[in-house]
Amino acid sequence: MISLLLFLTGVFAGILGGLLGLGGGIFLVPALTILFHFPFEIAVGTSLVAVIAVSAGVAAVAMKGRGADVSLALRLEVATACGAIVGGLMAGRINSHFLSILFALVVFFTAFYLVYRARQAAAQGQERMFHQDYRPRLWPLALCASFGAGVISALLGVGGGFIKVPIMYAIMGVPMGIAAATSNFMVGITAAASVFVYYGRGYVHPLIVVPTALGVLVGAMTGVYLLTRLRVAWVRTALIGLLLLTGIQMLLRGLGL
Amino acid sequence: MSEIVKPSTADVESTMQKVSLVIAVVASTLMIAGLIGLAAAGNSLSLPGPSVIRLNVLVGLGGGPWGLIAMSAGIVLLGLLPAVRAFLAMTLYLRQHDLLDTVASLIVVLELLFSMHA
Repeated sequence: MISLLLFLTGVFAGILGGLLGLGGGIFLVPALTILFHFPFEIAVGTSLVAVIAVSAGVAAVAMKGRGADVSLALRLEVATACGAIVGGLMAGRINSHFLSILFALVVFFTAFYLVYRARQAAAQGQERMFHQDYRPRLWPLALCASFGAGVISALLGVGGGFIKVPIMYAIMGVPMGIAAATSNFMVGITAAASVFVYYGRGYVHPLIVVPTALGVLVGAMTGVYLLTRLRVAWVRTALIGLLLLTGIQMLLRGLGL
Repeated sequence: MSEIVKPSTADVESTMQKVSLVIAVVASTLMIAGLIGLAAAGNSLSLPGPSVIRLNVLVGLGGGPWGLIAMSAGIVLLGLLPAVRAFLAMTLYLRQHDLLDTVASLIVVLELLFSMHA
């Protein structure tokens, strides 16, 4: 019964991940800790496998010409993967209450990021989502920010898409559509850089991971399918409300209230 | 709205799409078979359950019920997919004599391999 609930949770996270270009970890870690009462490290280990599954699911069924800039992704991943390894090595040595508070802050940041995305989407009339006449700039700043995104990703079990897209779009001047597609490609690599640290430490439990990852795979493919049929604005609005509730719960948990 | 993709990126994306699909299907099959096998063998499915089988033991195909081995192998295969994608990108960039992207891909592959031993 719990396996079925884990599968359905995975489907939900995967659909949102596929629809919104996020890894899905931002929903999975709170669900696994608050609803299923799994320890934080196990939730993070499970979430990292799920983030890879979202990235794989989206990549497997995505429409041609989504515009991911593989070259940009790999150059930034040099710093992000390095940060993810460092974050993975720090895991288990940091107080879980502190991590819950950090997670809550990241959740709030993600909610604000989605509001920002909504405003950008509304302004698309003046801005092209996909074009090739761009030249990424401010590489040193972007690489430093990418390293930080990798550390946060490994510590909290999230893909970090909500950090990567603003880095590419706001700092480097990459078009929004290409930044989102490139982020989808990157989250899998970032998660992979720390998942084996969690694997080696025994934080990956197949009976939890397998139903969740299978659900996420199905959900991510469904999310890509729904992308052309649903109004993403509605999903985004519902998600912002959900994230704010989750953030408050994680904050209370972190403060021991 | 037209979506223009650089030719080299289009090649890389197309190859990665096929590889992602194949690996996702094989990994899912292993995980499902392992879960069914574990249940069929009468093992307890209570959570959180056993941890994954360690990589060095997994390579030797020993150290636990085959259902657990299959599930662990599926998880490892899924975990290796991003490294495979980076490796594919590296070979494609190498063929295009794109030195900077070849080196960046190589570093990412090496980082991912290092993380397996960290």
